[in-house]
Amino acid sequence: MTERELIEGCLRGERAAQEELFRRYSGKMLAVCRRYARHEMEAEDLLQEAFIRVFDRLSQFKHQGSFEGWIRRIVVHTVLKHFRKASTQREQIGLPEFVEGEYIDPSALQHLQEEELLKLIAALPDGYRLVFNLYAIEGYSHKEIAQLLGIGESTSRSQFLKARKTLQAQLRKLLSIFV
Amino acid sequence: MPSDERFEQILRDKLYDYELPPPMHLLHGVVQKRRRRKLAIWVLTLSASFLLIGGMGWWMRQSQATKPPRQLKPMMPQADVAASVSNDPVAQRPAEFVRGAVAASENQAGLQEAKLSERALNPLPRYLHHAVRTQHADQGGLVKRRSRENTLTQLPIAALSSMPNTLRHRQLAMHNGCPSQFDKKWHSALFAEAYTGPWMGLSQIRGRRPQFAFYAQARRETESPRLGYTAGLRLALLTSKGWSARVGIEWSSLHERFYYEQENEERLIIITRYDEWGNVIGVDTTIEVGTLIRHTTNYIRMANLPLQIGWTYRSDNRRWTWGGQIGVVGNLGLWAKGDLLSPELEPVSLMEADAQYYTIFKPRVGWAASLGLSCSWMPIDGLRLFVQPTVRRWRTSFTNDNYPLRQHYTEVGVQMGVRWQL
Repeated sequence: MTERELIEGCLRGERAAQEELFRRYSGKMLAVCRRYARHEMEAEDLLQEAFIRVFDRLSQFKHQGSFEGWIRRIVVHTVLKHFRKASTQREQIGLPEFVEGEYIDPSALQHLQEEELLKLIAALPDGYRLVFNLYAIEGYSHKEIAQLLGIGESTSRSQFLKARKTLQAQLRKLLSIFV
Repeated sequence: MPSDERFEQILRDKLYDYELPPPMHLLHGVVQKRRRRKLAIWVLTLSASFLLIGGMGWWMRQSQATKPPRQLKPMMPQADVAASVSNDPVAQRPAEFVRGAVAASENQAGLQEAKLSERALNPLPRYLHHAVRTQHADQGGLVKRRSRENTLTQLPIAALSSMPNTLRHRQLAMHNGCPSQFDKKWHSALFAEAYTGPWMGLSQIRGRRPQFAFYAQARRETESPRLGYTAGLRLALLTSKGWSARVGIEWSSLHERFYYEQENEERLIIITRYDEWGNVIGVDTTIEVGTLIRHTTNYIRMANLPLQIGWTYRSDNRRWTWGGQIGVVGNLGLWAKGDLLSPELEPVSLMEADAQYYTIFKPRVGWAASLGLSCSWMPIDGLRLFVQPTVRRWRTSFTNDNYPLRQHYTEVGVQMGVRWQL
């Protein structure tokens, strides 16, 4: 089934097309949600919410550009909306202590499994995690992040730097166990 | 720093396209949540419609109740009318009096005397309408035609105030909540309607592709419509000009008969024989050949949200009304029960609880266009009985898209009910 047929089938309310669309894209999008969420259950909730939006807004997709990119944008915006809404309930975790450590060999990262990286990212505080994901993985600029999160550009930069340092410190700790 | 950039690059490469196994168990939740949200939207729309129509009706009623009666501008000084009335020997007779008052006022205004027909001398309201409607007055070279709506506003206030109470009531006030159809000003009243009646769904079954024509024919031959019912509650807003708007909630049950007959049906009967201690001493196997008959009544039940606009004509005494309504009906849910012929031409159940089931109907079926004619009669003040033959055509097929046949429905029936003013 081509992408266009899949979309048209979903618009007609065909259960088979909905299933196929979900099967095709939910795995990747669950990984996106896992990067932003604190734990697996939150990631699954976010994925459900995002796919409800995807099905509801399918008629707005104009077949210009990548369909996967369009779904990913919806997923990211759903995640951001969730964190904006839950800002009052956000975990108030103190910033983890990070130390200016030794040089970390980036190639050592290659040996880590994606699951381990996801766990490390999930352990970051909410603000760090959001900015780090948006900048380092999704490729948004600090200006765009500032607009999306309603923060200043300098805040976005500093959050990102702190997130990277925290992550590197955690990685050092993890790699030292392996060595 | 290059190492930081490299660090980010590796993370991006590893995580951007990282894929987990598709969590198919979440799809059911997505479908359920979407369904619940759509239902919530329907419920909110229904509540908002109720509130809107109810609020409009209440507001218009309040505004009518708080406004003083319309002050009619006299065409001549009241003292002169009073004088002319007091000199009139037939002033004690209301009909004659009003005729005299009209004539006096017209003469005073320099208009031609009205040509009163025999008919105009009869019941007073009719007289008033017809008399003035037939007049043409030439004022300053311009021909002015008076409309019947202007009749009362042209009367001297003294004449109006001397009318019998019943007449004045008919002309100026709402009669049992029914606004006057001949008032120039818009009035409205809010009513509740409860109805029920016989209802029938006529299905049109067609194959989605030509190769399914045989199956469609087989289904048509095994199913036939039977009489069902409908029942509902609705709010109606009626205006003085005869226009109406209705919104409500409705429950319909479409009934169909499923009849399946299969000759030369073979049935294997196995009888095990035991001795007195419970040991098996033999097994008899018999094959019976006969005709299998399956006869079921199918029920397709629907919760609907009807929205209608219409126009109503009222008889002079307002006892009778006739009208027409058009509208849309949104379906809130559909539940089917019974049997049907599967694509393998086997009788199967529509119920998921049954062993052999085959679900073909959608949980909701969109909307239908409806057309109705109505007639009502008022046996006592404030209460009206009505009959409304209605036909309704559903826009979309009732069946799922992956089912090989389309099944459209046209509903016909008569809604019979009672209407009372709120």
